[in-house]
Amino acid sequence: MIYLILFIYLIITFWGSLVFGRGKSDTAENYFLAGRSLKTLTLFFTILATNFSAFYFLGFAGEGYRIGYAYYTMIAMGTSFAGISMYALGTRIWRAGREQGFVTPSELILARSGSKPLAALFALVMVIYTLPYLALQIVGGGYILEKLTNGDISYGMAVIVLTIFTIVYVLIGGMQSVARTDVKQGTLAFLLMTLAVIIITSKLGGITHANKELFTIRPELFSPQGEGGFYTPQKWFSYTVFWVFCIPMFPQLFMRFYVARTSAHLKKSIILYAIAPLFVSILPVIIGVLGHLTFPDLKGNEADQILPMMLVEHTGEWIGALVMVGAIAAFMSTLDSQLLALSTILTRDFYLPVTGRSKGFKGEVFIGRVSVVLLSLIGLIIAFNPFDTIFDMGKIAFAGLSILFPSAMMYVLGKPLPPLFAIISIVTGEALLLLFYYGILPQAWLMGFESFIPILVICFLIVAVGGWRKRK
Amino acid sequence: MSSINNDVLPAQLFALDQAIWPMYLLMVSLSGRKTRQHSWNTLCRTNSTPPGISLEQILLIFNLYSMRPGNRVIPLFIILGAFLLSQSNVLFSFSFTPLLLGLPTWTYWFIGTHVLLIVGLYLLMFRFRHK
Repeated sequence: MIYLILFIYLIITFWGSLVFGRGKSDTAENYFLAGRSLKTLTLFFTILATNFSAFYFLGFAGEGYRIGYAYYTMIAMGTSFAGISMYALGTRIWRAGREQGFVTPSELILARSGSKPLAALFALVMVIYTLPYLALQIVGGGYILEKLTNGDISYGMAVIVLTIFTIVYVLIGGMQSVARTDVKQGTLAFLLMTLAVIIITSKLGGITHANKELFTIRPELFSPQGEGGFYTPQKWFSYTVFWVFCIPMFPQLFMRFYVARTSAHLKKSIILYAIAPLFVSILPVIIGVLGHLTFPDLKGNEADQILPMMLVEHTGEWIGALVMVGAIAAFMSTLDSQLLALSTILTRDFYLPVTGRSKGFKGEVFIGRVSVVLLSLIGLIIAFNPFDTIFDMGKIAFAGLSILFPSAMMYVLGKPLPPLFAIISIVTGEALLLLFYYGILPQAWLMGFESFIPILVICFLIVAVGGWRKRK
Repeated sequence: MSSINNDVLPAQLFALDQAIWPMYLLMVSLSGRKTRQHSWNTLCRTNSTPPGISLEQILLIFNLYSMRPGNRVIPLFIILGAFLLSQSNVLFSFSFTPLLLGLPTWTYWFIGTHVLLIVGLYLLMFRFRHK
């Protein structure tokens, strides 16, 4: 049965990419940016589906299990607050892209700063830190498909099959196909997750009953600070503001700002995006928290598997398979966007300058397609040897990208900033991040905050000094 | 009437007045230019300021939120307020007994904060729809 459902889903997605991509990927602008033609709803769904990934299905449920309902509030508030920075920068990025024909983030930075080294550094950081996030999607998809088939399809086979399938439909249709597929995949993922919550909670005696029962056993899961007082004031602040700086710096999201038909479409889609986490974030967290009633003693990374475990335990074969397909849809909708964004950056920010070819040359789309395959292979290699848990792989990728924010903000807002200061800000931030990640610098220096907060403060100070000097 | 404690009543009224005034100012600020001008004229003529708030303070608010469209003070003020309220769960002790759907009581406080953020963003877009 599961194979039938999976087969139908893959066929529908593939057919959609053929229909939407046909004849619309002839030029670089059409292939990479869907001809800058997306309207509010498509844009909203593609932004949402791009952001809510395998991390949404597995990571949110896992953190709900480990921390409790506090995780819902933090993630819903944090990702919604990203709407502020998306709004402030997004409309300006859209206008610049429309007027000057930018396709990648670095093209905007190059035009505003006039510095090729800075633009190259910007592109390089985006590629390096998006790769672990890209690999995270493949890892998540592999876990889900392996669980879904009770191990009939091994993890290794699962990641290869899903990655090849994603490559094919990205190659066929580019952004047009990716965005339209995101609408279907996003809708499917959230509807099926809602269905999963309804069925699981009804099997546990209803959501109110299940929560009240759990409250009598584990009240700390209902506390605002979370299990074990996880959210100290410093940590809460860190995670609430983090997304504001991080999300607009995802290359796949930065490029979404270019693809809107008008700024009004972009603004409306951002407001819809700010509303969505309130509803969609709660779903996997509920399953994760209530997982304590069925699986009370999961330790460490085992909690990442709580969603598939609850589905297998409480839903029938049909429903379980359907929800898992929804999770695969979420993973693929992020992976396709990342592949397309990174391939665009590799083609336009590295291949063209190195070979001396001009933008818009005939083979640009072909090089973009080759880059998609190359990046997928790198993602697969990381997925076969994941260097950390899903949560921590995501955290290092997000933190690395957020360090670009202070410099990007100055150039997008048209503020004066010498490129040297932007380079110092980015290099210093990335170096400090790695030093804290590998434990070379003591955690005590962070005063309870997550490492990216003091690092971002330092980066902002560097660009502020640079801006001040330039004005003088 | 016996249930009303007369000693507390002025304080209650004062609190109510304080609560209503920002709402009134918000509504006026969202209305058209003519309504805002009329409200300001009425306010100056009657000098009917609420207790604890001086005419100068109201003037300041009106100056901040000037008559021209595109002014972003109030939307940004609302967004800032939403952010400050979002930090309140680690500063204050909220009840976390299960409420509607069995979710902790405090989650509903944050849902309200979230709605405030959306309102701020919506107003920001509304004020700039001409651009």
